[in-house]
Amino acid sequence: MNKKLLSNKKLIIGAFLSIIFLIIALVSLIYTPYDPAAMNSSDKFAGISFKHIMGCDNFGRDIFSRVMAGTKITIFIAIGTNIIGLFFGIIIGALTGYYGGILDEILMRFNDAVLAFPSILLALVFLSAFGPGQINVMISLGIVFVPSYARIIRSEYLRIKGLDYVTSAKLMGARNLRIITRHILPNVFPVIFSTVVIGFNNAVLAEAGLSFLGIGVQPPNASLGTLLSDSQSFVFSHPSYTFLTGGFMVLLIVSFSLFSDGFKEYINA
Amino acid sequence: MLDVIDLNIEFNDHDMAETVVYDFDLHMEEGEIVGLVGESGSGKSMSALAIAGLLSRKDMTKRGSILFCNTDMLKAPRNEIRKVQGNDIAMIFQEPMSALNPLKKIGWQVEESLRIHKNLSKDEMKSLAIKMLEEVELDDPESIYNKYPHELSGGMRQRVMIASALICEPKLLIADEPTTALDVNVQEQILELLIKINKEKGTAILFISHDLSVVRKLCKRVLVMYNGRIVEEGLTDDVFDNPKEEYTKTLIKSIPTFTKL
Amino acid sequence: MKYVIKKTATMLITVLLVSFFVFLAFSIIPGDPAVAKLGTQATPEKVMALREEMGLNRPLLVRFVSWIKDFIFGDMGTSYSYSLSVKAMIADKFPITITLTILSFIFIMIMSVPLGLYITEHDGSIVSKAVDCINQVLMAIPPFFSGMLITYFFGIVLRLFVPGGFVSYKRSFGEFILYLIFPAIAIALPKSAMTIRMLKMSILSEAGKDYVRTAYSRGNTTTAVMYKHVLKNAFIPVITFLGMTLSDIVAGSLIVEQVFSIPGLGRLLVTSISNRDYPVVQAIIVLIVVIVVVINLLVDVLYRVIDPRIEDE
Repeated sequence: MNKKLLSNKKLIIGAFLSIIFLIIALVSLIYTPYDPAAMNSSDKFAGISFKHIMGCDNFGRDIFSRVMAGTKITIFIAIGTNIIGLFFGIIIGALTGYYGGILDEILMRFNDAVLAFPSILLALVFLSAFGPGQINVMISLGIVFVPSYARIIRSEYLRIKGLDYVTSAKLMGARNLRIITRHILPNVFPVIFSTVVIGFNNAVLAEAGLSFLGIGVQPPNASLGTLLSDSQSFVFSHPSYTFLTGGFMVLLIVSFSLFSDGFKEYINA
Repeated sequence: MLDVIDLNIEFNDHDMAETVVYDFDLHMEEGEIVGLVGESGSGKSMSALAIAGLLSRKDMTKRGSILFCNTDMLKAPRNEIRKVQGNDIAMIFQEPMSALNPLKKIGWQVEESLRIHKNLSKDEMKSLAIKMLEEVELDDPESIYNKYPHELSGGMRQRVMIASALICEPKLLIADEPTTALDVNVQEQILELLIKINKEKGTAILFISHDLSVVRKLCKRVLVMYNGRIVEEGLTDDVFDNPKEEYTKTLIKSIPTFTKL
Repeated sequence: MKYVIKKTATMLITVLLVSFFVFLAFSIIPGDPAVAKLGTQATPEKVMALREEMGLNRPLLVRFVSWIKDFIFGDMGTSYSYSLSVKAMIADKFPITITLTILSFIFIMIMSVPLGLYITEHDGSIVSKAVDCINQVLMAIPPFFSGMLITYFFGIVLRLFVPGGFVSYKRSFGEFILYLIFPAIAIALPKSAMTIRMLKMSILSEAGKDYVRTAYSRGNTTTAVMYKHVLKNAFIPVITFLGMTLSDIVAGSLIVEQVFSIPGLGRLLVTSISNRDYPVVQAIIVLIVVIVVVINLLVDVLYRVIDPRIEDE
């Protein structure tokens, strides 16, 4: 088993990098080299140096400190989004998958209708209703994520409820609620896990898109998406701002998707 | 017609090399039906695929020779082997459900070997295909010609497979467990069909099965394989009445229906 | 026939449902559109009068029905901010966004199908491994970032186009297309990466199936097995994926329009959202719902053409 784990390069590199990003996010809670919001006109567009390893932006703010804080907000939103999506997804998926019937029929029709619609546009509708801000981004994206989670979890419940051990639990008199939560749910987790990692990436991308459109995270807070969108105005004069923030975000997503791919290979191998 | 000498097949894809077929020898005359029996994993299907020239995986070492009408199916260049496949050697498989391409019409699939090996017009091919579908005793061949595999039952699909295998009138038909996936009464019909084809067309058949009762019905001569080796060989009746090897004895005993047949 | 009716019914229900939710979302928004429209001149009497005039005092469902009825007959309402007919505002922008979407889709096909086939046939080679690696990165790039990178490299460094430039299709269709090429590539790059991956996975899984062995046993060349047997089967899951991609790139176009300053539906949508100009926002969203649903229907039909097995269900 250890050999299987060690030979899975994607899983190891992915996990390693993902942990680094998580550490950066955690560290930014207590320490950033500079105050991410502190403006300093003398450092306006300061280049890359030992003092400012990613340089400074148009207000003289240290970009690396802002990237650290942005990583924190991005990860916070992505995790929150997935918790909301997963929570309602599990409830809907478990009930429809386990009981089936007319409720299942109606909810899944609705589900398919919503799934056909590009998620970022739906989030956009919610966001313009709720107003911008990081918590609202989280709620909007969370709602948008519910249908896809519900679908995946429903099909897992459909598959597992027919297995022998569930039937025998039923015969032994276990109540439905107990079967749903104790017998089936733990066996759904491996599938949920790899889906959540992909969901995490989708949330990062979607949040970046919304922030880019100006209806996501609002100043003085900044996510990686906000930073990247701020940098757009200076891509002509100071392209390194764009490259560094964008590259950082891409690396974050690549790390998590490597991790997810590796994890899937590990489970299936 | 067919001479397999010292065939050895070895897998290299794990850390350890693993031999799946040892010193396999087989000689077949034209028009002969030979049975090859053994449990799954005994190497019988591997040997059959090798004879049909279908083992091309790179992580495999093959030694020995498979001489079929002056072509070495093991060492000849791919292009030469290709000319034999479907034309002189044809093969049918265990799962008629998945052995046909789900997106192509039956007619197209039956004609495929003709398209590859013969130079015929569309109409000639179609009339040959319909004649062939008739010969494998399918009702209403004209309509089956235009159907898709999912519209047919398992038995009908196996008949279609046989029709597509025989369309170029090959010298050798390799049948790898062709009845295993079918209902018992359909099994009977397919076996009878194979016997009929052997008699009428003189097609030699290498029949691979784990089911001794089926083999006894069909084959005059039989080879028993165990763990990659041929452990016993001879006329079917001799082998069945006086098995010499311990393995053959248990194999015969393990088939409860055998005595009844 | 039964299928067509069922499918059309589902389509209509989807459109109605999503429109209703969009309508609902904009109705519960805090802030009175009448107040917003009057701005600083808002007095309680004026607001009441305007609310009455705008029909805001009627129950939600009544308003929805009358709005959808008008929508069907081509009346999309009046913009709060510009007092223009929404239809006139959208009519101009619609062809731009649609052209961008179609162009992106064409690029996805051009880039991903040949490359996907190549790396599958040469699976394990250095080129194939390199493409896999590049794909992993491309998939992680949001379309607006790829847009910014393209603006920088092709617009600023290589000077192949003028960033921010745009020619209306009304003036010169050829030049209009030329300006859309780079935005389309920006949208297509990440999606092509996903398509290539999808295609490779699908082909490899088909190549292990029994009918492939049958095809070899008839004397087919490897190329013939690939093109006459495997490819069509492998395309079935890819078609579903491409259908989803197509509705995704409609959304992608809206965002990429911002990067390249293209005056399409996306620009209009974003300005309308920040102006709280809800009739425009609603109309654009519902229009996109219709497009997405139609795309889904087309994918479904294509599916049926390719896969004979579906008819029976």
